Amino acid sequence: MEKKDWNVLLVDDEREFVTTLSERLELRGIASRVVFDGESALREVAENPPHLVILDVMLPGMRGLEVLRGIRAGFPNVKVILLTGHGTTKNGIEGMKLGAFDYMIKPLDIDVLIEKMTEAAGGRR
Amino acid sequence: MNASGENKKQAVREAAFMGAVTASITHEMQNVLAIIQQSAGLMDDLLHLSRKESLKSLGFRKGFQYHDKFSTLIAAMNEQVERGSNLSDGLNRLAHVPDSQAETTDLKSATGLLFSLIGRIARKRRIEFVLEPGDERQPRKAQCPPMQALMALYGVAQALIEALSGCVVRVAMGTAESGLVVDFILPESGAGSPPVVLPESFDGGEGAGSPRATAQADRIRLVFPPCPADPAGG
Repeated sequence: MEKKDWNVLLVDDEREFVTTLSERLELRGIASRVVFDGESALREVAENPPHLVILDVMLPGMRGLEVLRGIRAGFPNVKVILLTGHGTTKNGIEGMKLGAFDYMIKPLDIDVLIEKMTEAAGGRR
Repeated sequence: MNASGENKKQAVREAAFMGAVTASITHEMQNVLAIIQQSAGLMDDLLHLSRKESLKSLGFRKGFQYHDKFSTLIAAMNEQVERGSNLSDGLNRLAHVPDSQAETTDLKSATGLLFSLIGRIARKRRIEFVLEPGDERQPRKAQCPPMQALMALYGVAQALIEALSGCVVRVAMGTAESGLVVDFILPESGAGSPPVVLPESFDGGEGAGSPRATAQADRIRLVFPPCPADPAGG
């Protein structure tokens, strides 16, 4: 598998989900860091700005859209793909208005996610 | 406030409570399904990797004995994740109906939602509701709050489930002079069945804007007041 030169940050409080997703991305040549809450996400972005953030909207504490606002304000070049659930797509749409690159609905197909990541990394939008 | 008004308020509070709790649980269910899906996906990835390594070793490294069985099981897990996800989606949409302040309803969407939710109840009587595709250009938005529309559709579906068995009920949407119509077309094989008894709430007692049902020889017709702002489809 061709290694991608991307710096990816995954943010989700569902630890099993996000660590498994990270492992699957790794098998596809995409290295990623993982954090489990919004505050840690903003810290990570500030310390080592990634190219891409995959961000769950329904985070406890600091909500996903607040994290998105923080990223967009301080690091406008960082692309953010939001993860939402069925029934919360309005959060995804609101996120797009706030500058998210795109949103996806959980459960998600990893190949579709990688397509979106590729688009985001290529700066097609 | 009189007793009837207080009862209505209490019913609204109860529906809101049920909706909020159900919606919250469906979010959890989606997370559960997402974990199962990614775990099955990782198993599949590793299975492919082990086969690749076995092939590369020209047979020196033995392949996993249960490769095909595991592949089948992983495919079954993925199918069930999709099934669970659709069920959870329907339940989530239902849970959000009580908090909708809308005065109009997209009848195609409401009918699709209802059939996805009552599929199992209908299957017990070996009945299948099939929503006909219809003309996308036709208006389909009714001047009727979503919960009221859903309850009207459910009322007819329930009456049919009680009266029929072992048949397909086609459901078609269209327009008539009286408004937007949803026709539940009776199967020919249902001719000898007990008569379809419509719920009492369809006797016109719920106000001029309420959907009305009429039993005809070959169909049960629900008529909804059309939404004036939807002249050519929603």
